Amino acid sequence: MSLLGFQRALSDLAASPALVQAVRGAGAGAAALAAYELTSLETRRLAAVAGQRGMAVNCTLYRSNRLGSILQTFPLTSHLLEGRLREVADRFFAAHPTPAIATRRELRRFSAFVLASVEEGWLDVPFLAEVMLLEQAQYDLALLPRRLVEARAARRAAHWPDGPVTPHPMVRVVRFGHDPSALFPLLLRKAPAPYEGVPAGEFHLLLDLRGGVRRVTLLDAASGRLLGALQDGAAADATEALEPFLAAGLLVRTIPRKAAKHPQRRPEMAAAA
Amino acid sequence: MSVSELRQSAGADALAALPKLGAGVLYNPSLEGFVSSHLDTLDYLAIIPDRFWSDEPDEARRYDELEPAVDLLDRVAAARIPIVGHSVGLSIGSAEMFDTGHVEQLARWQARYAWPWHSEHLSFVRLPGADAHTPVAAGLALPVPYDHDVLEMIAARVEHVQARIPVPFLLENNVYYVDLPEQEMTEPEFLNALTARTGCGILLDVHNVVVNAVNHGFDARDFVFALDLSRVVELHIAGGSEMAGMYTDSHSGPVAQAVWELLDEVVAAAPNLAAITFEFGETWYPAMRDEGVNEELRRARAAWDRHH
Repeated sequence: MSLLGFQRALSDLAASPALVQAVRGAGAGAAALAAYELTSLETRRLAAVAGQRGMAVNCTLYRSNRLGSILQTFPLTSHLLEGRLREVADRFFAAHPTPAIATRRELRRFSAFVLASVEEGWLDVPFLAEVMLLEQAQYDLALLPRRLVEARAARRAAHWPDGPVTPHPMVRVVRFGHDPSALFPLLLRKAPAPYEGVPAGEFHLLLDLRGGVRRVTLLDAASGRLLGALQDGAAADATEALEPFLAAGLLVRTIPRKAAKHPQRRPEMAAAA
Repeated sequence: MSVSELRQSAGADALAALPKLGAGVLYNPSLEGFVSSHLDTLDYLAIIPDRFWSDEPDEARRYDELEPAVDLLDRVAAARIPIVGHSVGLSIGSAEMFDTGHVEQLARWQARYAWPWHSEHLSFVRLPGADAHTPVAAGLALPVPYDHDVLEMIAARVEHVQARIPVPFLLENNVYYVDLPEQEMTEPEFLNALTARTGCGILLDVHNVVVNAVNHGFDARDFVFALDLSRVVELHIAGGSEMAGMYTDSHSGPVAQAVWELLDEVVAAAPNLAAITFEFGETWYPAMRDEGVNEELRRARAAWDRHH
């Protein structure tokens, strides 16, 4: 147990400059380290390293490791947050003191934190929520095992030619409250905010990674609402309005709800029975 | 002959028999184009396998592969370019937690890509969470104390890895910014004892040695020549930068001059050396581009050629 206590304390010191200060200020550090199960040698070691200049490097590396993947994966969100990134990082680290093992989980935690912060009102940064949603959707799509996902979708469509329709698993619709065609040129050249004159309204961007080819399309409002509703809810029966999307492959046939509850009863099996 | 001597002897034979690969680069995503356009000239490709999958240890299905990255790797393998695994997620130094599932994943990838050897860091990056199946991240790689009980713990784990993966296993010397007092061994003593006990090899990160020497005031050459250099199979070379008054292993672009100055001697003195790997951070690619990467490889290959 002792080595574990030592390792927990050492990593906590890297995560918390406040703990480093407390250990430095407590003489031998015993009081500040009382929560850990340590031998006297381990306490002496930790007290010694808390006083070394290298502990500041450990603390900086801890923060930059956690922030690095966020900055790299969500560059536009990070640009919008520029002046407040330190505050947001502090609050995020306080809300999630331990980094997730999987980068994708850490990034989802971060995007959920940003969206909740916007919702709560303390993080009032224009365009932030919609850009965060877009970058999260792009990341989610990029992580999907595309060939597997597409093969599964094709199998379902073949098994259920009259099944309800659902968006193709390699597409996403992201709703915008501002015109992306005016906003993104500013964001992509990292122009400093505030961005004046970006028209507000209802806009829908279609992210499409079918076949491994990335396409981004601005949908008309009716199409965006239609596909967005299907994305949010259950599969719908095909109607005339959906036919063009089916023909374009943006929608695919999927398992009927009853069959989804009883997946063993596929049509060929039902016929055999 | 004792069991330890037998293991060491068998280990030495295995290291001597390894293919001599030459000079290569540690893959990062900025190198996708470089690798694709240099399939006919790469001596080998070193990879961090953990960057080719997403690992969520507390979920039923671990190791979701990242398809585009794996596609590239498959092309490299199809071009018959050797691939060497250098993992970061085993956390072999973690107290009270050893992830045998991770070893099995490494075994699958070793078999799939026929790694001639594989390596890990002599450190810990994960700690047990609520239970041993839900580890938490330490946030950075931290060194283990060089004590006898830690040596025993790691030796047993090395032996487990060796039993599951049928190619030599190397451990990399640490970079560290804080200096633990009252350790029972120096790092070279610890590494020598570990290799003698288990027959494992050493991945000698020359830049780590330089960084530690600068920050902790010792002679890098003394460190290198205190190691049993017959155990060194692979070298890492890199560059660094200043942070908070210290010199860090930031992999900032080209290889540090102090590394080049030491490299020639190390290559000459390591009889079982099989590869020299250049590593850099992907954010440095725009400043280096293919020409910069090729220049570092050219210099590394020149050092290699002088002694092979």
